[in-house]
Amino acid sequence: MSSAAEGLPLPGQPPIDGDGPVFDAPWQAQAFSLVVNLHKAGLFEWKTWAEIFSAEIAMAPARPDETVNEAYYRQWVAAMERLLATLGLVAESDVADRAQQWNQAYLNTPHGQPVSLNHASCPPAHEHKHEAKREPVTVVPAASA
Amino acid sequence: MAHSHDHDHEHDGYQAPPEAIALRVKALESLLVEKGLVDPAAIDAVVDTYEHKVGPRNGAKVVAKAWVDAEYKARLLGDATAAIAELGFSGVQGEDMVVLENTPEVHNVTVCTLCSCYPWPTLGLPPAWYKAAPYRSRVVIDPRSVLAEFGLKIPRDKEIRVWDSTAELRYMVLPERPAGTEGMSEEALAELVTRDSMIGTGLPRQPGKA
Repeated sequence: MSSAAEGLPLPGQPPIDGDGPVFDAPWQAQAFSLVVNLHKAGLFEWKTWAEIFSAEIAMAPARPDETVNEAYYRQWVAAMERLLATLGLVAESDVADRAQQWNQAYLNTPHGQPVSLNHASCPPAHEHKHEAKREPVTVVPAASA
Repeated sequence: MAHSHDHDHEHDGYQAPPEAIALRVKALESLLVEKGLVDPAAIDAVVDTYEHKVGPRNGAKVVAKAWVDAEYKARLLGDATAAIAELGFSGVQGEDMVVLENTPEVHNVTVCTLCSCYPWPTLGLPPAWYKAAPYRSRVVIDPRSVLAEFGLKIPRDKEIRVWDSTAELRYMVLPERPAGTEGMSEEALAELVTRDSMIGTGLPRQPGKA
């Protein structure tokens, strides 16, 4: 038995759920799908994934303030980052840099517009409410007679 | 970075970034797409499949068929992967399946002690408790008590076998066919088969109580 077993306090009852949603949030589903797709693309054996994921669960067990899925997919994402770095596919520093860029892209994107990565460096024009303009915006001078 | 994500009130009109881990997943996805390692449409397809299309109903069909078709049951217990693929269920985490038959003498229950290996093509994604440390650790130490907490009282004179699924092979339980189901159709029988009965933490529904 690994130390992963010490992660959660032992409840009187195992938490029993129905056949409800398996993901709490879209990012969990995306993280899940990325690993499945990379495996399907032949980039690693499932056994390799299970070893890295198991090691991550043992090393960074669930915390009392996390739901099961929060802990599980935190471990899942960390294991994916480690695997991709080990395979030389994505460096961890690249992930950190790109996450910062996405953060900035959100901050630069007005409500109602799709968030695009290039907004990080090139914010789109903010569509302010149409302000009253008391001067003509364009003037074409009359042609001289 | 000039901005942090917790000041959206100062930044009215702009979008608040999601939590840090969601940004990391977004970062990974965009980097992998750029490198041509994943296809965005395929990412969405897998999400859709596991949210809507794969689930324990697939496994229930396997169980019901084994209950009505002795030859199928023999194939299922002999080579579960091939017998399950006959019904069209295969894929990631379904490559090497072993089906364990419950009998009047033996009750089987499955776990993955190290992570959450689980037969996705037949059972969908695992329930939260299957992924949580208490179940993973305790069911191997004291299965009778853990099963009792699920409301499943296994008589003292019945053997309990706990099977640890791994990345190489995944177990699924073939529960005993409930009494009083003689003459029921395969479709009606499948309705009695619960997810937990195929993990081994429950029994099929009784007829008339579905």
